[in-house]
Amino acid sequence: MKRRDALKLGLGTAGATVAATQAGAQFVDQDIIDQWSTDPTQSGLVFPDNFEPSIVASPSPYVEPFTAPLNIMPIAQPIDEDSLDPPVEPARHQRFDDFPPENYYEEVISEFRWKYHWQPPYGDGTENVIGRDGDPNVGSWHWGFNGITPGETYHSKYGEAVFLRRNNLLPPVGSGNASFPLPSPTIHLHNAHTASESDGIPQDFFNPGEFWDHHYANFPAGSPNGWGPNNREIMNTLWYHDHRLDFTATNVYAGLSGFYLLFDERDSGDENDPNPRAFNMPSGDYDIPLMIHDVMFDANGQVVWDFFTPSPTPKDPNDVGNFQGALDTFEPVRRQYTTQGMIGDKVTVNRTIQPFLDVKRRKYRFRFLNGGPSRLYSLILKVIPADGSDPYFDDFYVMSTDGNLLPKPLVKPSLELWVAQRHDVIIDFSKYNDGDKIQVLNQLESRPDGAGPTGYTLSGDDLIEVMEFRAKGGLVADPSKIPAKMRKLPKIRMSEVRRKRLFVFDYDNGLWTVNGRLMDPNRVDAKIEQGSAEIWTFRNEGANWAHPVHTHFEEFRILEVNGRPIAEDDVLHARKDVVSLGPKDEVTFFGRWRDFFGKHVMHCHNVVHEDHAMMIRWDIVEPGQGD
Amino acid sequence: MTNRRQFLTGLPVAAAVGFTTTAGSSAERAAAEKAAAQKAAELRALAAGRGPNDAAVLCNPVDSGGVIDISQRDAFPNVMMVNQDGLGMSFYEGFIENKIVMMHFMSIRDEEHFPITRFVGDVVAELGDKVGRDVQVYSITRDPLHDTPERLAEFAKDMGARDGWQFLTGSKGHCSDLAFRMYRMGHSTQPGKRKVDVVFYGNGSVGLWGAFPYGIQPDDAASRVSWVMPQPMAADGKMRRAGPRVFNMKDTQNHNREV
Repeated sequence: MKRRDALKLGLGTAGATVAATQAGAQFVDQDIIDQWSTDPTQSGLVFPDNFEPSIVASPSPYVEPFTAPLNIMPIAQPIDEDSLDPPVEPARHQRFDDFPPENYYEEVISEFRWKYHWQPPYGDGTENVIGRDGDPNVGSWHWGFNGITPGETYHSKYGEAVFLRRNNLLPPVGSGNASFPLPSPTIHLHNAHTASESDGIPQDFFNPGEFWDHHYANFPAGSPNGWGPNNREIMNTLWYHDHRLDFTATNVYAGLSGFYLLFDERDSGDENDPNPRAFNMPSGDYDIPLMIHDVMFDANGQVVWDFFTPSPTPKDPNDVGNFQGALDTFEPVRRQYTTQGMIGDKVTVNRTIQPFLDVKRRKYRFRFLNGGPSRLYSLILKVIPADGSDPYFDDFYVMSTDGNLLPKPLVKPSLELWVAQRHDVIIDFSKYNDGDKIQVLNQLESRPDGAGPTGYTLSGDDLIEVMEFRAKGGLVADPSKIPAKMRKLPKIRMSEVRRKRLFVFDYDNGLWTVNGRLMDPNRVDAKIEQGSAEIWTFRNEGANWAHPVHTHFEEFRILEVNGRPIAEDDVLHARKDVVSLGPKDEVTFFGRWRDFFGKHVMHCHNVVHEDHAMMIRWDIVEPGQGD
Repeated sequence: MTNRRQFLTGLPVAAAVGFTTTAGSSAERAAAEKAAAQKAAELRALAAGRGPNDAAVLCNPVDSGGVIDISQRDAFPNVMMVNQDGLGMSFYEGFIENKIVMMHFMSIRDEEHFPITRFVGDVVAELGDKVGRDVQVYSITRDPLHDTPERLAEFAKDMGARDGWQFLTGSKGHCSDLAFRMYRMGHSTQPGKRKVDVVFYGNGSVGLWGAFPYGIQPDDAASRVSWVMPQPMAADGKMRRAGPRVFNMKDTQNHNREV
């Protein structure tokens, strides 16, 4: 094996030739072959795209889908305010006294081993023992909140503000077992109506040994002085996740995400609620959040970030055109990629690989969330009857999009779930029989480099397994309902619009740009006046990639997609916080910015794009100070 | 009774309902994680026998002994690259492995259109004597036919490059190997074509990498490089407040951290 050679030499001898001799090379400009050291004709693309993704070159260890029980996160419990040391300092939070906290929470962010499955190499082999249970020396090294990932599920109520202290006890750089994330998170509460300093913006990180205080006021946007049960800005399914500048993708992937559910008088979280205004949707054990992440593992069951982490398995050295023809293991057909995205081959739900869930024959509310990093989903339901009759596909009752209840439930055959998007659905298992299996499958094919969809819809054996529900037992009493009508949408008042903005999402020089620029946290790209409304247009100039674009702080209403208005039975006829910006798409929306001041961001939620600076900073400023 | 046994006796209940959840209350879990993190920190300190900041950051020339972990070899193309003094080394082994690195792609002829090297020079000035000691800086040419080591040496002199800032060239193929590795595709080679670019920074011994855009404030950029360096934790084990600081509309800083 070659050792490090440190030699004095001129350029002439340094220039070893690169082997680029594949069939068809004569049809391609030699400059292109020189530049890419590979022959693009193989794929027939102008840009060479013939790399072999890591999930094909070295797939994660096999486990049979639907053999691990679903992990369900416990509910976070409040603590005594007096136990916080040092104590709460109200002056550090905008409008703290308007919304004094009702509940106090504390979290510890740390590193631990997590079993994605009970079978080796993920688990210790004891059937159904996953997560933190079983042999403590087995499992993937992971980060999380209070020892679990996803973190505890918060159950909060409108009108009851929350104070949350997060302590960072992660091992400092270089001393932990998970190498790819940065032990310096900032935790964002995705799309809560939260002041800048509690929002978890990318710049507000805290290092090992430090803590950050968050104040979640829990009031509907625009109604700080009180609101009625029919307020149109009330949200229900939120989530929290890392948002670290330059390292969001790796940190969320390493485990820093969880659910934050908000309840109110109507969506009260009690299916037996006698209040006539209450929706009485399935609650308690029958209201289950489901967070989807796609993950890649090495042969030992450790999580791999396919970016700069070394390839999991050693390869035989070959001629890579190295100095003096020395053999090396770096392969000319690269298995790694950096700025496009990250695709894992194991779909996990609540950080369990392709789990199953035994369900009673009644209604359930499932809160689906795509936690990223880059894979896009279109979920469908496949029913496999126990009596051996033909499998068939069934519909979802879609209750909400991006965490906001729709004006009325929609019946849809599939759920588009791009990164960070959420859909609450109700599935009524009473119409199935004991022993029926209801599988959740993904039919949307993503590019192997993660930059967007391929444009193909998967079918048959190519469908990607996500999870399986197993209907069990006889019919049971079911007090829950599917309400006929839910929340009306906030009014769009064009008279409030102060200005329009256009944001063009493009690809330049191998990087992802917004209006031709990359993120600079010191540059304010939009100064928005508090209390004003604006119309924003997002345009994707790319024909081959997609961006789930998210803006913080308030929901918006889409006016047009590619020049067409939104139909009433479309899930986009809703309040949204993530725009699905497909190839060449143009989306226009109406939004408001109310109640707080300060710094926020808008960015692509393909978090690999975000980390390569596809983000802008916008500030809420005093009226008269806007741009 | 061990925790595992406790769990196993409880297992049939969880298995019977077809899901699993973590036992205990929030406070118990938090306390357990605090204790475990404390213990892990003690073990780390014990194992190292020194503070995290004493961790060796190797500089050129690289140590010649030791065994290369073959599984770590293809994190970067291990292609021959030559610096402005004519020193040639395999890229991964010579320039990346066991080092904290800041690197970017440039060409002398593009500099007048897109002065990224000058920008990096400002960041180098901000980093001061950390350069060469704590962090290695590489300017990698995308125009190797023109940017010979001699021209790069001249250019380095123009830039006032201090030790620890190296200008790398190689064969055309090798330079594009590196660009392909970092950008996957589409990185411009022609002068005047670049409008945006990033500077990569990372810790080669950990495998931790980030990037900051060209044109941000140099002091900001310098602090971003320090993120991937080993940082000491407070010795007293007491948690320190990182933020937020008291909100002020007039404040021009780009964050809400306590500084």
